[in-house]
Amino acid sequence: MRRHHPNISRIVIHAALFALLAVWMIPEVYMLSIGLRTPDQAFDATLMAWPLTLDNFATVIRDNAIVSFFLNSLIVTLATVAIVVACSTLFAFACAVLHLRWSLVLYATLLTTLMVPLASLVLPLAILLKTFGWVNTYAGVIFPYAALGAPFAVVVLKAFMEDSPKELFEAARVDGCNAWQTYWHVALPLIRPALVFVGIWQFIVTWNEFFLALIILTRNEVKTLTIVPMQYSGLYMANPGALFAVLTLIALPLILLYVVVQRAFVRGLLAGAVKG
Amino acid sequence: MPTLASQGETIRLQPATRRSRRFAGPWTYLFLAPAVLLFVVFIAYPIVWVACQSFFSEDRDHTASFVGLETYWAVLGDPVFWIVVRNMVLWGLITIPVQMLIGGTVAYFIERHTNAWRGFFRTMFFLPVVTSVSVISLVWVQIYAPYYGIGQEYLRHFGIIMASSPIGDPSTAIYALILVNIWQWTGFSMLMYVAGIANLPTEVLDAARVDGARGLRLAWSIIIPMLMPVTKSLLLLGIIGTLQTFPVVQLMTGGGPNHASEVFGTYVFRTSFVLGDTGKGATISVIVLVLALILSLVQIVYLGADLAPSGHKEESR
Amino acid sequence: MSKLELKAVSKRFGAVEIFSPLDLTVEHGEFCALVGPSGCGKSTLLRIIAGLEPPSSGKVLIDDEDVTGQEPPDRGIAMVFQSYALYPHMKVHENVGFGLRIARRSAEEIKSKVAAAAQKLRLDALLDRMPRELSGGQRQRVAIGRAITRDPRIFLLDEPLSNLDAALRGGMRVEIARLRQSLGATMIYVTHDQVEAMTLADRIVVMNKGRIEQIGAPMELYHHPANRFVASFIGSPSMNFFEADVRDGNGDELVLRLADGSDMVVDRVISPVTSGRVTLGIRPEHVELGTAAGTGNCMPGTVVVVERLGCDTLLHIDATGRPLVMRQPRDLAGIHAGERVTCRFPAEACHVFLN
Repeated sequence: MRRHHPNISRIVIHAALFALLAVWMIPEVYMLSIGLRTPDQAFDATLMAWPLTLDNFATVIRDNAIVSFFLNSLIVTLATVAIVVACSTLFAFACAVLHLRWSLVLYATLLTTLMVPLASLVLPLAILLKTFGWVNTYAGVIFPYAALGAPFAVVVLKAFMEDSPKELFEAARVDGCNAWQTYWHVALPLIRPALVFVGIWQFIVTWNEFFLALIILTRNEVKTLTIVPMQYSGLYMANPGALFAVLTLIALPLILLYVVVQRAFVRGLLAGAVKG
Repeated sequence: MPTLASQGETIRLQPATRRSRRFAGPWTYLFLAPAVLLFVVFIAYPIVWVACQSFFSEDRDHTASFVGLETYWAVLGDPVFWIVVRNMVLWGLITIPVQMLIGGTVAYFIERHTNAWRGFFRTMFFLPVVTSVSVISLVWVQIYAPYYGIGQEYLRHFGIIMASSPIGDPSTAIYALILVNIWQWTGFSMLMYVAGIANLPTEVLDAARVDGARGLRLAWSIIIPMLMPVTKSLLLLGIIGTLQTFPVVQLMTGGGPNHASEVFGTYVFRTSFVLGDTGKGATISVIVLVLALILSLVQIVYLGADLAPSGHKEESR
Repeated sequence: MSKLELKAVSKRFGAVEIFSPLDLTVEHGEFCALVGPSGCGKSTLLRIIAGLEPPSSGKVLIDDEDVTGQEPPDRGIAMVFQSYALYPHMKVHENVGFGLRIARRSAEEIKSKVAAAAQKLRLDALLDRMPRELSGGQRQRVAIGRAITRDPRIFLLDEPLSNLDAALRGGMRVEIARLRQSLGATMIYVTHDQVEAMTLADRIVVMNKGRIEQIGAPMELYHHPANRFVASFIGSPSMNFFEADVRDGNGDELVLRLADGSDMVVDRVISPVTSGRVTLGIRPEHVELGTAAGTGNCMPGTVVVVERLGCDTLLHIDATGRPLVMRQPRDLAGIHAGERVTCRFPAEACHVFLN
């Protein structure tokens, strides 16, 4: 059938995908739609309610310090991504290119982190950070996030470096590079697709992290975007329009960022898998 | 022309030590240092601490006394613990296969049968993954809400009328949460399969087509087996993800009603931070940790350690 | 221009011995080819010379200076890798000048050296391209250009032509020969292709299983192979071999009896053999097409396959159960598969090897 009617099957498949996507997008659309409603439509049990109004967005932006939460998220996330990228590339380079003695043992040890659920770490981490005096500081979440995120990055980057032609690193050595120069001039540019992938993924994970942020960041000055919806759900109990306007504003930055970078993200994912 | 070596023994090992200075001298161990430092301070030390703490009990006057396995027996005797275990098993058994099935199917049709819309579909189905989980939770609370939530409204069209929100009913709460989780993370499975399918060697697919495999037959006997590495990674990530479950539950039900939707995350959180029982909190933490390690090890032993996206084989070299 | 000496160099990885202690001297300005089948240790030897791999024992001397413990750039060597190993993120001129940049040379010096190398290798138009935009042959030239800018005392080339297709390979071979003349540098060239070794090298080192089988000028190896391995490795198609017994080892000629009972008379120029089991070898191009009524040194056979190469014709012959290849420098239009022929082995062209 498919051979004889390629167009019909293509249309059917596209229609099915669009239908599924429509169902899948209901929560996102619903979120946006409630935020765009007038107070008396807010409790209508419909996906869309007309007319749309931007009043709620105007209200919440005027009344709240969303921007400062956004900046907190941005600082925490960027710092975490930077640390993860730096630590994991160095570590992966030492394992995959320098073949340092014991590095594989350390690698295996590091990997166990991937299997440690955060639930079993929050309690001791909270106490440790209290000892450091890092509760309610950016550092209090940045470093644990980096420690939890680095192992996955190391796995991806190490595999990627091992799949890179070994002769490139030898050529660098013949050209007079020491280990650091080889890392900087050859290894880093070489693994850029994987690096982009790892960076974006770490960004998403960190931006959306909830558990540790909930425990460590209790003061408004340091809270990240992810943990503020709770306090708004109490504040705007009677005004879902305003609440969902806030939620939309909280969700939007990362969604927009992903739409912008998704091409590079998927390319990194594909490139990482090409060699196997 | 070749003559036998006589001085070979005397200069052995000298080269390696001298040449190490510049390219790979001891200083290169600094490459490992940052990651190791992070690991020791923020992963290893807390684990050791929590393991030690689980054998102690803290009294009112903040003096700790050694109680051995006592807290372990207390936790194992706690009926809530067993609700948690049941919920976690349900969670893993439902979310992982369903996400694989939907994600894999969607990925298959996107990669093999779309062209112009491919990027669009890939991006849109992944959006829930990048939507903040706390936002998602509140949106779904609204969807599930009685009277004004659209979820209930849509169910009414099928003749299903619920008196209360599904997350307010002990018998349905956990399933309602699982649905949210599936909705959020299917896009991740999809993208992993997309990467796997996009990287299938075309020669093999062409060979299969020459052999007469087409459509579903091709998918079933060629594509699915060749995507095994992705499936294995998703299984491992899924199990770890299940044990990590926290925000959705904490924000939507808080583990209630009456512990019906309690998961490890909320259980630890409630015990340690709400009730302030450090000893018991530590014990639960250790149990979760041990469980996670056992599950991962079992899996690695049986399936190999495919972890990275699209099945990089780490152990193969 | 420099002299390289290896003194009792050996290499082992754990319990696996790659090669046992061996000595080798490459003279000033000499083009020396290391040939052998894959896994014979030739590439490892080159990497030891380069300093990428430490020897398990022994010394590497360049111009009588012990460089065993030195890093590659300190040895004054340059290396061309099999995969070219061009840095994919750098333009051609950055690739060529990278070594100088690392050595913190001035921008002008880098520029002039890169320009000089580019001119020599006709890379001028390609300097601003990325490696992925180049063809295989162009990449090869860039890799050589990168080596030239270092002004090396010794060039090391690791199978530089094996990634090129056959047509390009011939052209690059000429290019390397030309380059070698203009640079006058000492070159060590690893290859598994005996044609490259024969056409390019002043001296060939034939290696097998971690041992040096023979060292000599190309024609010397061709005419006087020291053993059966060298004989079979040098020359294409490979030499024909027949098991034989020495029947009469006295006098100027050696009489061998083959398995089918026929006798062959060979010159005993290089064969210090008087009795026992030996191997008779003869190159395909030395086998003559005899007449049916041939007298001595003849072997009957049936043509199995005829390969017409244009100038030459290869006959694959079934000589009473044993395969025999012969090469004739003419058309042989009249001969087809299935035909019975007689092959004559000239006494002066036969080689005899001890078993």
